[in-house]
Amino acid sequence: MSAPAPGGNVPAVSVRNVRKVFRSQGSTVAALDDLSIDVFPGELVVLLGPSGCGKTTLLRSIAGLEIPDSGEITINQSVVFSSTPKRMVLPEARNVSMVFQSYALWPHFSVFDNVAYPLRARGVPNGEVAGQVEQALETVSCLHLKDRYPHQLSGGQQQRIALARAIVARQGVILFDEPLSNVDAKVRERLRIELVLLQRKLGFAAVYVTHDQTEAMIVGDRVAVLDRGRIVQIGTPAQIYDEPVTHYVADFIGAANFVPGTVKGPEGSGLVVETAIGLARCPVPAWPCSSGQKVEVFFRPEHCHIAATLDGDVNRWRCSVDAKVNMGPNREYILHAGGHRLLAWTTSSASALDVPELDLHVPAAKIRLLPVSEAEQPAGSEPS
Amino acid sequence: MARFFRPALPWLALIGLAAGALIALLVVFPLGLTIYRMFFGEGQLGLTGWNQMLQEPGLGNTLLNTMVFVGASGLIALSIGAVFAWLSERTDAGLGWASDVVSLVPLLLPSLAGTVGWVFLMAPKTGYINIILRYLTGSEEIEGPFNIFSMPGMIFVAAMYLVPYAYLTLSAALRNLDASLEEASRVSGGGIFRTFFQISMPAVTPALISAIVLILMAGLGLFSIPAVLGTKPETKVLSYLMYVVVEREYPPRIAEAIVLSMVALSVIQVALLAQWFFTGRRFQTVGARGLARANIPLGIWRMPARVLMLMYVAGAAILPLLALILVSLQQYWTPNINWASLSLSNYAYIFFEKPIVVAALQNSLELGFAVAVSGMAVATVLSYYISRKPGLMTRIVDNVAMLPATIPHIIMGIAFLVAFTAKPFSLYGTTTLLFLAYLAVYMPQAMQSSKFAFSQVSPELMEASRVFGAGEFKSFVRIMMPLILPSTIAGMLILAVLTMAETNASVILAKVNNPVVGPTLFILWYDGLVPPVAAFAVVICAINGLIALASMYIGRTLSRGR
Ligand SMILES: Nc1ncnc2c1ncn2[C@@H]1O[C@H](COP(=O)(O)OP(=O)(O)OP(=O)(O)O)[C@@H](O)[C@H]1O
Ligand SMILES: [Mg+2]
Repeated sequence: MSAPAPGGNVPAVSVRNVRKVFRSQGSTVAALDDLSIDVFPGELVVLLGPSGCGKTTLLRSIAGLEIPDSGEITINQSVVFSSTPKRMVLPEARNVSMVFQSYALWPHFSVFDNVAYPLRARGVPNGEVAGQVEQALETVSCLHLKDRYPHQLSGGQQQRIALARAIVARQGVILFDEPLSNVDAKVRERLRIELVLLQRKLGFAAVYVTHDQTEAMIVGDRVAVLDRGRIVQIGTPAQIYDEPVTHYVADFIGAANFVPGTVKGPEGSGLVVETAIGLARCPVPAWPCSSGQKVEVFFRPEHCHIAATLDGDVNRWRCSVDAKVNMGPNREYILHAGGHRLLAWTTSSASALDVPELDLHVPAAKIRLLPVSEAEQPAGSEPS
Repeated sequence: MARFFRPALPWLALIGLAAGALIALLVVFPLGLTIYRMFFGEGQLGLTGWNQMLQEPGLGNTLLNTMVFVGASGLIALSIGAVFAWLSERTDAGLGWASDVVSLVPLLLPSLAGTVGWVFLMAPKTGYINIILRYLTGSEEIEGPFNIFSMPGMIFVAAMYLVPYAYLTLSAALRNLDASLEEASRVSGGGIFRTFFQISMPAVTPALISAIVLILMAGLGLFSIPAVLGTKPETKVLSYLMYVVVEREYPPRIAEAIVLSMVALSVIQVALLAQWFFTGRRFQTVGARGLARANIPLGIWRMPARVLMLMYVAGAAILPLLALILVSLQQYWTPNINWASLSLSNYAYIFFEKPIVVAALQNSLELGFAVAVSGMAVATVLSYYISRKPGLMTRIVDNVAMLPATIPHIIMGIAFLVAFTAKPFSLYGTTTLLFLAYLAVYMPQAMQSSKFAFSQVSPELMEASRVFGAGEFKSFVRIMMPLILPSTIAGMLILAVLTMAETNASVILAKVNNPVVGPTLFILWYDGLVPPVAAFAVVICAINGLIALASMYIGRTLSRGR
C-alpha cells in the first residue's frame, strides 16, 4: 500500500532487496531482511519502528558506513552498493549528508570549522567556504555561535549546528538518525517544525529515523514502519494511521482496540463479524477474506461514542466501566466487555457518564478488519 | 563475503603489517629462540643447561625460598590490595588522591630505590626505625628488633611493591559493579565484613584471579628486592639466581639461565591457563564507569580504614624516600645524624666524579624519550589497525603484542641476550639492544594506553568525517589524531617513567658501554658507596616524579575540556 510519490519518478535513494545479517557470539540477527525502499527528491521518508528493528542499520548502509551482505543501493541514479556485480562506493564518495544521533560534532573544531569541513573535504575553494558556511549557519539561526566550540553549546544549539553541517554542501540527500532524541520535549517540538520547514525550503530528500510515532506523523511525507528488518507498511501518515495493514502497525501507532472474531458474511456493502463483545459491522477490507475466517476487529478510542444508553443496533456494545482517566483534552474510559479491555475517549465530562455500565458505539466506517496470522498472536489473547 | 568489499586500506595495511612484523621480531623471535635453545644448545643437541641447573648447589632450597617469597608477599599484597580497592571504590573511606598514589608508587620510587630506602630504615644495627625502637624501649641491644636482610624483610618490602597489581585490577572491576548488590546486602542486615567477603569479592572473582596471576608474574620477576636483601644462600630466590648465573659468574652460564627462566615461565603459563580455564578470558578489560556508585558508610571503621591506607602510602613511598634523602645528605652512612654536617656533597660526587652516573642518566633519559615516542607510535598504528580490521590475523597480532605482559622482565632480558647478541645482530652491550628490549616489554602498556586513547573517541566522529567527504587517511589525520593526542602524550610519559625505572631487564642487558640508571645504582650499591647511592636514588625519584605528575596533569586538564 504505497502512496503516490511526490516530486518526479526517479528516486533519489533506491534500496533494493538489501540484506544484512549480524553474527555475534554464535547468534545471528537479520538487521535488514530483503528490504526495499525508494525515497524521491524533495521527500521526507520516516523510518519508524521499535528498538532493534534495523533503522540505524538501513541508514548506515545508505551512507556506506555499513556493508550489506546482498542487494543494491542507488543514490541519484548511481549504484553505490551492489552485491552482483560487486561494487562498494566509500562513504566519502557517496554525496550524502548525515545528522548523527549524538550529533558527532568534532570537539576540537570551532562551530565554523565543523560546518566548513564538508566543503573543505570536497575541495571547495577557500574563498567560497566562508560565505557558504555563514549562509548555512544563518539558515539555522546560529551565525552568532560560529566561533564557539561544541562543548560551549546547549543540546539544541548542537543539534542546529549538526543540521547546518548537513545542509552546507547541498548534497540532495540527508540522513537523520534520531536527530531529536537528545533534546528535551519543548526544544524537540520547536526543532521538529523548523526542520520540516527547512526541508521544504531547501528541497532535499531525507531519510529520517525515529521511534517516536508522534514525530513520525508530524515530519513524514511518508512513513515506513519496520519490523525485524522488514518494511511492514509504507504510506502517508494518514494511511498508516487510518488504514494499518497489520496488528503490529495498528498497535505501534496510536492507541488501539482489538477484538478477535470470525467473519459471518456480507451484509449490504460491508461485512458482519462475530466477536466476543457482539456483532461488528465494517467495510470490506482490501485484502481477501471469506466467511468463517478468523480476523481481528480494530478501532481507535477516539472513534468511540459512549453514553449511558444509545439508540440503534449497529456496532452498539454494552460495556462495564473499570476506570476513568483524565488525559487533558480527553477523558479516557477503560471498559470491558466479553472479557476484552476496550478504551474509549470522549471530550465530554458530563456526569451522565458516571455509571457502572454504558453503551459503546463505533461507526461502521471507522472499523477495520486485520488479518490474523499464525505467527502474530493478537494482543490480549492468552495462549491456551 | 562482506570482507570482499572492505574498503581497501593500502597505507593502513602496509603500516599495520610493518608494525606486526616488528612485534614478531621483538617478541616471537627472542622467546622462540630461547625455547629452542633450551633443548638445542649452540648448534648441537645438548641439555647442558639442564645439567648445570641440576648441579646448582642448593637448588631445592632456592626453589623453596622462591615459593615462600612469592607466596607470602603475594598473599599479603592481595589482601591489602583487595581491601584498599574496596575501601576506595565502594565505601566512604576513599581518599580520592590515595588511589592515584597507590598506582604511582612503583613509578615514583623504583623498587631498587625503595628497597635501599628500607635498608636505611630497618638494617639491624643502623636502621632508623630500629634505633628509634631501641631508644623507646630502652633496649641495651645493638641490633634489632627488625632485620630487613631476611626472608620476612624481603617479603615485607615485596608485598608493598605487589599491592598495586592487586589494587588496580580489583578497583577497576569494583568500579563497574552495580552498587545495589551491596546495598541489598546491607539492607538485608549484612554487616560490613560480611558484605565484603560474601558479596563484593565473589562478584569480582575473575578480577581476583587475574590479580593473583599478575602478582605471581610480578613476584617471580622481582629482582631488585632479593638482590639487595637476600644475597645470602639461605634466602636466595630464583630471580636472583638467574642474575647470578648471567652476570656474576665467569664464564656466564647462559644455558642454565635459559632453563631457569623457562621453568619460571612455565609456572606462569600454567597459571594463565588455569585463569583462562576458570574465567574464560586472559586480560581484564576495564569497562566504563558504572552509573550508580556504591558509597557504603563505614561508621567507626572509617578512621581506621583511612589510617591503614595512609600507613601503606607512608610505608611504600614516604618513609623510604625520607630515609634516602637523609642518608644522601650525610658524609657516611651512620645512624648518628650530625645535623650540622648535612651537605649536598654526595650529589656533587655523583655528578662530577662518577662519569658513569651522568652517562647512565643521559642514556636513560634518551631511551625513555625514544621508547615513549616510538612505543606509542607503533601501538597507535597497531591498535587502530586492529580496531579497523577485526579478524583472526589482527587477534593474533594483538595477543602477541600483549604477550610480554605475562613475562617477567628479567626473562625477557635473558631472551634478548640469547637472540640479539649473536650474529647477525651482534647487539651485545649496545643501547639499541636496550631500546628494543624496552620496546618489547612495554608494548602491552603502550597498547593499553593507545586503546584507551581510541576508546575515548566516539566512532561517530570518524564516521561523520567519512560521510562529509574526507577519506580514511585524511579523517585519521584531521579528526582522530588531534582527539587522541592528550591521552597519547599521557601514555608516552608513563612509558618514559617506566623505562627510566626499569631495572630487571636492564641488569641483564646493560654493560659498561651502555649504562642505564637501574643497573648503575646497583653497581654503586655493591661497591658500598652508600650515601652516593642514596643521592642517585633521590635524583631518579625526582625525575620520575616530575614526569609522572606531568602525565597526570596532562591527562586531567586536556580531558576536562571535552
Ligand atoms: N555491529 C553490530 N554487531 C552485531 N549486531 C548488531 C550490530 N549493529 C546492529 N546489530 C543488531 O542489528 C539489529 C538492528 O540494529 P539497529 O541499530 O539497526 O536498530 P535500530 O532500529 O536503529 O534500533 P534503535 O531504535 O534502538 O536505535 C539489532 O538487533 C542489533 O542488535
Ligand atoms: Mg538506532
